[in-house]
Amino acid sequence: MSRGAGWLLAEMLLFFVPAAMIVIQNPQLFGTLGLKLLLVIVVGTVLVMAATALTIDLLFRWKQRRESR
Amino acid sequence: MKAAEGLLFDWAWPLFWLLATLAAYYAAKALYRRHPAPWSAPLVLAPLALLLLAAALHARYADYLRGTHWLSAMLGPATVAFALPVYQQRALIRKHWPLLCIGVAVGSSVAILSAWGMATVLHLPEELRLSLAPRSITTPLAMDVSKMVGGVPGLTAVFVMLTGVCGAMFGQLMLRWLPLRSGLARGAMFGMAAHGMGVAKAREIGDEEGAIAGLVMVMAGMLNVFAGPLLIRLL
Repeated sequence: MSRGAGWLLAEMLLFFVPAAMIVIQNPQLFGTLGLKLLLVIVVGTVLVMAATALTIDLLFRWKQRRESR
Repeated sequence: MKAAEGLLFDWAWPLFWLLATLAAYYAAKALYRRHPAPWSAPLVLAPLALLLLAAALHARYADYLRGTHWLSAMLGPATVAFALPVYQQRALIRKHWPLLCIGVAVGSSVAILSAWGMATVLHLPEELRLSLAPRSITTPLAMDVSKMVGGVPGLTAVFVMLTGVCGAMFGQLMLRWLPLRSGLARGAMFGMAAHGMGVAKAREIGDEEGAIAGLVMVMAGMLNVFAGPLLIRLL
């Protein structure tokens, strides 16, 4: 079971490829609208990453300090 | 004869797209192994090559979908396969789950509010704004949330995809910029912001990061399905 799960996880990116092709059906996404959407996605993703990682890391350090006291 | 020709033609394009997808993926993967860089990630190059090919051949999306829909169907079992690394890291998770819960709540709020805020500033149509909100969670759940709040599930799938690619690309840079001491924070960052693609990336960084990312992805998905529609309706 562990080997099967390992294969699924290793080749997982392949299963995402077809989902991307839906943009063929939505050509309007290639114009200014697409650039705006890309901006929202890039900035939003960076914000989410920073907020999540910093929150957890600060709490983790605080917890470690308290435990070592 | 004509019927046979029709049948052949019926199967030729879907089969062609299946083979093209597999070829593009494995070629991109081989290239990435030799020149690992954010722009050469298989999820950037393979769809790009296929899109160019599709544009050149004037492909119909229905043909593409018919050849490759079972690949997308494998996402279900692949998501379940994340249970294994999560199980292997259960001790770590038992110790730190309150931290992860807080991180997921903060991350999900930032994801929805940032999409809403920027879409409003840029005057994007309501429909797109609603389709953008659930983009940080795994595709099947994101499409569910999108449908619940009145977005377009198909577009949400594209935004989820772009978010995943973007998260996997920028994650490496974020690790360099942010002073993160714990594998917990590194893993959660990828699982929260970039769902399955982030988890795949986190697994390249380390076992602990990979398992935490997988768990955080599942937690973020569940929180968004239950609380996401409420938050989006409040806005």
